[in-house]
Amino acid sequence: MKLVNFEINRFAKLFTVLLGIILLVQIAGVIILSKMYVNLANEKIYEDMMSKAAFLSRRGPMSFSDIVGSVWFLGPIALCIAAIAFYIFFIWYRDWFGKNTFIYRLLMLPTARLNVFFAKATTILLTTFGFVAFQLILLPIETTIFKWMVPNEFRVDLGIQDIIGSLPELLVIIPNSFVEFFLYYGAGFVIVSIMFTAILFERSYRWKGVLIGVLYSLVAVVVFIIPMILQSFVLNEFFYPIELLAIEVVMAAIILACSIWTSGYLLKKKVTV
Amino acid sequence: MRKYWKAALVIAVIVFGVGAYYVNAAISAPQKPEFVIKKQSGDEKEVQSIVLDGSYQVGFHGEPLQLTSTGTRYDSEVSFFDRLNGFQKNKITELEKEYRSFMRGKNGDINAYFEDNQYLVYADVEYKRNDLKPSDFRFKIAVLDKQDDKATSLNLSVPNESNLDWVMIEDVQKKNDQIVVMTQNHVRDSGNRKVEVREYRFDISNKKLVENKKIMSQEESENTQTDIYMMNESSPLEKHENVVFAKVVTEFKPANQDQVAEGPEVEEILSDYISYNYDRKEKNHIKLPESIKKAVETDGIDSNMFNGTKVYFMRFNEKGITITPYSLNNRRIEDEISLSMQINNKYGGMPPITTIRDGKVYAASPISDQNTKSNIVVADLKSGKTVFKGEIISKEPTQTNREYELYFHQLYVK
Repeated sequence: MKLVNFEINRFAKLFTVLLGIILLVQIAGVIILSKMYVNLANEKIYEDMMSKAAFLSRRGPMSFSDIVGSVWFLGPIALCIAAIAFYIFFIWYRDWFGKNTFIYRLLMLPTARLNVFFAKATTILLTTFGFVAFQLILLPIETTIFKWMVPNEFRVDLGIQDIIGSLPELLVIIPNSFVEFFLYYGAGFVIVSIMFTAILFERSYRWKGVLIGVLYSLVAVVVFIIPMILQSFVLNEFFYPIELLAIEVVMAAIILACSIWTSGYLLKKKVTV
Repeated sequence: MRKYWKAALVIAVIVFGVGAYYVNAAISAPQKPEFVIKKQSGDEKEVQSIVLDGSYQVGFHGEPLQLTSTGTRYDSEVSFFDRLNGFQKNKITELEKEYRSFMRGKNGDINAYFEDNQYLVYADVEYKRNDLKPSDFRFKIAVLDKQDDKATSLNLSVPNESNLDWVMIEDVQKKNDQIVVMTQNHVRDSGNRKVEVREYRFDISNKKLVENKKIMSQEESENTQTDIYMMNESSPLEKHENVVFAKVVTEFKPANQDQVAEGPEVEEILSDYISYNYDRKEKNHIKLPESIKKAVETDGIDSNMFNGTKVYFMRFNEKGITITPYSLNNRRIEDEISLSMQINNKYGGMPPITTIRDGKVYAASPISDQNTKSNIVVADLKSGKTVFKGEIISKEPTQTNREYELYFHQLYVK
């Protein structure tokens, strides 16, 4: 717990900056895009003498999904995804290459070394959820601003779920049901654990470790997709979809366990400082 | 505790944000209108087992829905696990529920099944796809005896399989101790391509192919393309004596000088309706009056139906539907039935979606929007009387701000 808190504090600055970027860019996007639409409407109706109905039928009313599909909205999300992908590596390597090889002190702590691994993984998970939650809290605020900006007759109001549903990419980040949320982020967590293991291989054996790490990741991917390949090519769709899902969950659990065990072993016996 | 405030804050935000979203999603009332079938005249019992598949569209966002007499079910209201088993419930999902182990690994094509009180039969043709051309076509047939829950299966090579390009199952029947499988085969025959309809009969107790008969065949030439369709059956699973095929020839006329850019002119000609009787093993051409033939050519053959003994040819106009039954046993046209029904002409007068089941015809208009309503009409085929008339309305008073369109693409009766 102390370790998790410590890691989060280290990430806090970057995290806050990213949240700030989401907040500013997305709200700016809402305001600018709404303004552009209203200006266009004004121009057409009062300058070109187009009737309201004609404008609406030609341009269509504006809905919040127009904003969600824009760079203003998706850009910050993409930035955060990139930041997390980067941080998965950074969270380890800065302990080696930072000012005073911090990893010494981490590994000397009087707890199991595996706890370092868990603390880092938890931090990645927590910050990811943090971004998602922040976005979910931000959405109602943004729709309210949108409602202030665009008059009623030019607007189609969508519920938050409809807004998210309007963009398939967003459905991956914020799925419709809690079960899917658990499955998607569970898969994400397994991937993070595989990458951590690969990083530890590299730290243990350097260049040879890079190769082992890549091989390890490949084996994990193969283990994961074997049930699906068997299902479609050998077993002729023998399993019902729900059974295949259960098998895949078990496979993912096995891969996760392997990664944790291997990482623990590497941290304890092999890591070179 | 002071020390942990950042982590605590992050966790609090997560619990609040994610929690609030999913709790809200679970309890908040759906924002899409609830559509119901409102009776105008007739007996409500007639539409109790009706199922309409369609979608609800606002702007560019559409969502699949299923409408029954009890109301509307939207795609987003279905739980994740139910969705895995298929959103739109149909006969196949029912069979999977009831005969779980028998249905394992069987495909979702309703024509591949046959069911009566005692047996459930399934037939498929599988092939290897790993070579450049498909090879090793094999019949996979399974028969389930429902009473003693015993399944018999059969795995036989398709005759002349090395000449096949693909095989489609058109119909499966059980006649006495034989399994009859009707297929459409695409065949390569010394450079030429052919389409064939074939009947295979299997002796299930001896696991043997006992008969292999060609029902129809058509060679492909350079300027024509032939498509053979099996006519929609009102209840594809059940036992019936006949099958009906429509043969449509598409001609590609060479383009004129000034038409080159638009490509060749295409003309579809319905050339033939052919019925085949399983019991007598005989083939007949159906002779149609020119008026019906013309209507069938313009409206397409998709909406015609047959129920095992009669073919129902349907014609549509602004006032409704005219149905002409053709009896396969007497080989005669019977009295026409007219259904009056308003069709929304705003969308180019798309024909209504129809189905025939247990001596009744069901029809529904395919499109409606916030200003119009979809109609549903049920009529008795024997008497020609309309037994139910109704419209599909939104339960709540329509919100002024919402422009929607409601589409239906399939109607079936459970």
